[in-house]
Amino acid sequence: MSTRLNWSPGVVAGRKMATGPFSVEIEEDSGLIADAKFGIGYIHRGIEKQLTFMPYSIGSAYAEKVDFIAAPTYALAFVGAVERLAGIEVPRSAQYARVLLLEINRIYSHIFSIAEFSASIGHEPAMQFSLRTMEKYKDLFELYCGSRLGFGAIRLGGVFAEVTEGFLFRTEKALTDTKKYLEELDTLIAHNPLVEQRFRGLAPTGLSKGNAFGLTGPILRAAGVSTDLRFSGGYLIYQELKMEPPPIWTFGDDVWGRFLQKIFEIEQSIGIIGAVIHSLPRGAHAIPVGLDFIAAEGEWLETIEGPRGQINCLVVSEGKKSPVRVKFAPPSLSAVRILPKILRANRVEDLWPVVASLDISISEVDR
Amino acid sequence: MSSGFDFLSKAVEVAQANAWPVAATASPRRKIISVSAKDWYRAAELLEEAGGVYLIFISAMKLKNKLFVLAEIKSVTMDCISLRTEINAGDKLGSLNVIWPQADWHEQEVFESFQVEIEGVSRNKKLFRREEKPLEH
Repeated sequence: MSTRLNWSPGVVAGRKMATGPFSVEIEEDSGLIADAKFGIGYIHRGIEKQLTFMPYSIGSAYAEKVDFIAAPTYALAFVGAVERLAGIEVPRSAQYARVLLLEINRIYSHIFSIAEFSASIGHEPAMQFSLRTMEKYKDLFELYCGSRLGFGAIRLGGVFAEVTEGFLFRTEKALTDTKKYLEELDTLIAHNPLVEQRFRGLAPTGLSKGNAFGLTGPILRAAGVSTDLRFSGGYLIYQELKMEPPPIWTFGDDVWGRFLQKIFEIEQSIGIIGAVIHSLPRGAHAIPVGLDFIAAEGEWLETIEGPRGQINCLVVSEGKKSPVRVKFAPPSLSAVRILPKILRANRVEDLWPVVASLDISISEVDR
Repeated sequence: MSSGFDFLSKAVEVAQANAWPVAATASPRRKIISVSAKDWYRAAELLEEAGGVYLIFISAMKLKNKLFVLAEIKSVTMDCISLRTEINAGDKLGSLNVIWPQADWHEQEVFESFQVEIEGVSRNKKLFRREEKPLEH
């Protein structure tokens, strides 16, 4: 006999089962999930529409609210599209600073995801250690731009301010602490045979048979598909860092593989930040852009590699002070779409670890 | 990354074979193909066969008092075709859900936000939880 279980949006968000409110209805039969439905729309703020009322120069302040965990990344998606449309050449020192801020954001986002996963499996120590390490990156953003989530760090024409020696020193300290955290995580979870036994082989996305839902990012890379726009897309100065594209470790197309992929990408970002710190040029941190800035008529689709996958931002201009249309295509939308498929025939108690492994940000799904 | 595969050239060939206008954009890796509403599904199908494996999004926009529905389609090499159609009163589009399974939520959003009729889109459950007047863009 099947039973319908409902989790209301308030419960999902309040108990930190996910990064935002969305409703969950599952049909449960003998402890297994027969069907799952997910509902969104509880956090819809009309950000894309609001951006059409705002001057370009302050649009990034709205764009970064699409996803509060990856705020600098979304700011870059929007301002990058506007800069390409307008032909604005951002100073090289600002491009290096942007890479530095983006990789700090990426590490923060991945640690957040690990904290969420640890909470979903009831591993309190790993969750607390992750939250403790996240605070170091929030301190970095607070030192740089005053906002602990990085709001305002990346702006049209450059970045908030020049990167100082003190900030670089604190960044290197945070990286050292992160390496210690990764060692702790290794002991607590990554080499814990009980955890691996539970999650190895759980909820594969079936990417080997085709990527019908358009998944990108760590989910795809964990399954062995080599795609990372930082190394192939040619945006910012990633390719100038002369870093070899990382070997593709197939951690596995399952919950365990996706978890290990996050740890791997944190290590990768530590390497990128180290390379940026050693080659950061001095120079202007931004080109001044006023409120009366007008982008040329046309449109640009900017694609960047966010922590969760590829973020696409379309900006359409009719030669006025505000864009006529802005559209964000977030990576989490594909992840939410595939959830019902990968949850079927799994146990009810595996629901939240599977959701956490996909690292969904409901904020960006809903916009 | 270069694999010798040129999605943009293949897409332009498809468009020229069907007399669909092709427009350049500011990006050399993105072009716009404009079709009529009745050719919408067929154009998407042909572009998918030409190598457009990823549907980035389906959305709509009002440009110069005209309503357009657009679908951004990318290849594995990340080249992009923006398939576009102008919507007039009474126009209905075919759902692209058969080609790309993820299209249904995008189409639902287009219906709720722009009131564009797309065949096969469910009206029963709103995506954005608003049962009264739909959003207007």
